[in-house]
Amino acid sequence: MEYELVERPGAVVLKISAQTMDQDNAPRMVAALGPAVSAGRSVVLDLSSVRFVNSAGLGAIVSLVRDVGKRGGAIRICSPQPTVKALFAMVHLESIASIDADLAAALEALPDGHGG
Amino acid sequence: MICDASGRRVVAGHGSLRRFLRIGGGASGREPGPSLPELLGVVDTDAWSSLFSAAGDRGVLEDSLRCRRPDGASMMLRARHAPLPGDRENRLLFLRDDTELEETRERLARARSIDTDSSARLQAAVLVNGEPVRSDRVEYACLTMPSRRIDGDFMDVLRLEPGCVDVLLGDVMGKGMEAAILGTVIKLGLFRSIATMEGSGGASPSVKDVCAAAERGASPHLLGQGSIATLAYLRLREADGLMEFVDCGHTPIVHYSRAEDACRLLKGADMPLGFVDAQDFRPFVVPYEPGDVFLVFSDGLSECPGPDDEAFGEERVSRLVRTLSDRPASEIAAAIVRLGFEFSASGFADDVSLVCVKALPAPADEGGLAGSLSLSLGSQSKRSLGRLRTVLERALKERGSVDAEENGAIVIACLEAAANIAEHALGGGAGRCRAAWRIRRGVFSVCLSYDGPDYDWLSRASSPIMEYGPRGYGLGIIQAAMDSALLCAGLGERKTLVLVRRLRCPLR
Repeated sequence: MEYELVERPGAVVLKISAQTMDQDNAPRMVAALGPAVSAGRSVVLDLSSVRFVNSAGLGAIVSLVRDVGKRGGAIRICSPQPTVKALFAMVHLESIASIDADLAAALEALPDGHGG
Repeated sequence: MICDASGRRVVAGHGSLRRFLRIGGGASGREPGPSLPELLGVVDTDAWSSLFSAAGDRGVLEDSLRCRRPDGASMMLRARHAPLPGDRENRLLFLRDDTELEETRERLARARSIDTDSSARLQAAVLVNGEPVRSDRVEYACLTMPSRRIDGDFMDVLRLEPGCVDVLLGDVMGKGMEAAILGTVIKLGLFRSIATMEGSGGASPSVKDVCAAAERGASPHLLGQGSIATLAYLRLREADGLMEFVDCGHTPIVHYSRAEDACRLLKGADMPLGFVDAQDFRPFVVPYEPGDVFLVFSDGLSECPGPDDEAFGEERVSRLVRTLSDRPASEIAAAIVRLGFEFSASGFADDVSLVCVKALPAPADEGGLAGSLSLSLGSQSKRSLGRLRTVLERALKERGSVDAEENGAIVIACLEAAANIAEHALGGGAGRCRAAWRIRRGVFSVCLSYDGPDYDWLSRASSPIMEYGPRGYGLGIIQAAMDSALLCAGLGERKTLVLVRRLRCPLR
């Protein structure tokens, strides 16, 4: 299984299990959040298992951020590994999405603060 | 006037002749007396006779002859005669006093000669430096061959600090003293920048800063004269095996890579000096190895016309560098200039200046880590890129940065570059790419070589993150992660993308 959707109070967490996010799998993973995004729910993208994201994977994440914003929801990205963190820093992803060190911090930071 | 076919006697128009010679009456063709050439004071009477020999059968004839006027003054006479319709015995003769014109021509020629002599002396004394720089790691050889009329070529090789040598070669548009003065202004500006500026930590000023300061000094002069100058400014970090350069519209630098036994043309991204007041220079960095050769030259060599007006050309220069690469730098330089001269139809029309740089065998304890991979792209791209990722991650963990994020950024950039080659340069089709990487003295570099069409690696990222594009982040990632990203063209369809990053936190 490349990803897992976890319902948490006030948010849906998409935990990516694959080690890489690229043009072959990223659009599919992000699409799994479609119903939650359409419903205007807040989402968390958990990248703790992802070791590598390429530019196509980045494009899918950026599209997700845009769609969530359009529907009035909130999105946080958590637990990027060093290589992924470096990618986000290079493209200044933090200018359009919040990035947290771990899942707990991401959930805590959501508007309704349903941590844990 | 009308004269007989032999040019000896005036038949009609005696008054015109008197007015021309500014003399009174008396000269008349009706009476025996001085012949026409005698009246005109023609010095070379054989030339006059030759001008009229068999004139009756011929069309318009003309010549310039030196004469002595009745008052003793020298005169340059232009004589032109043409047939009279229906009259084979006589000719229509036109005379013109070209004395002033000739004197002006002579004055101009003298002035040009003085100008050429002065600019040649200026070039020899200031613009071109033949002083060799000694080094046990790199050979440097300079050579210049002035053309008949001096251009504004200037060059120099100077050691700024141990292990760091700068090479500069420029060419001012135009010829003669004006070009030589502008070349001097630019060269002095470069030297003043080097002497008065200081880089970080007391080091020499950066190549970019040197060029920017020189441009600030030269632009008013160049813009004022409506002239421009091309410049190639190179810095060799001998111990690091790195060459950094700024290219202001100069002819490409030829880089012979011994590992590939092939030449690449290094072309930068800046405009010639004098195009604008100031520009933001973009330096590029290229790694080199022992046996590699760099050749910087003026367009007097590559644009030198040979038989059928075909230019000597950068490709021919590249082939020669490859052929001569096992010789010392001085022999490579001399042979290329000699072959260019032999190729030229009538000698070099423009100055030819060149600097040849050859890397010598390195000490055994060079250290560092290097390797190469042959990547199969197309249907195998994903697998090949996975191999490249694994190899680079392992190497960077061993000799890269202490900062995992920095290592990660480098890996991502390399994979994006290889993916871009697969997608854009090879169009998704099958092809091969050789990745040769190196980590040495805190600098990571990778050369990705492939056979395929060009691709605009210099363009900026097309999708800034705020614009939420689903694609187009690859170039931005490469440029953000690397200090230098340069695509070099080789012979045929060969291209090499060279990426270099100086590690911020290198492992000791």
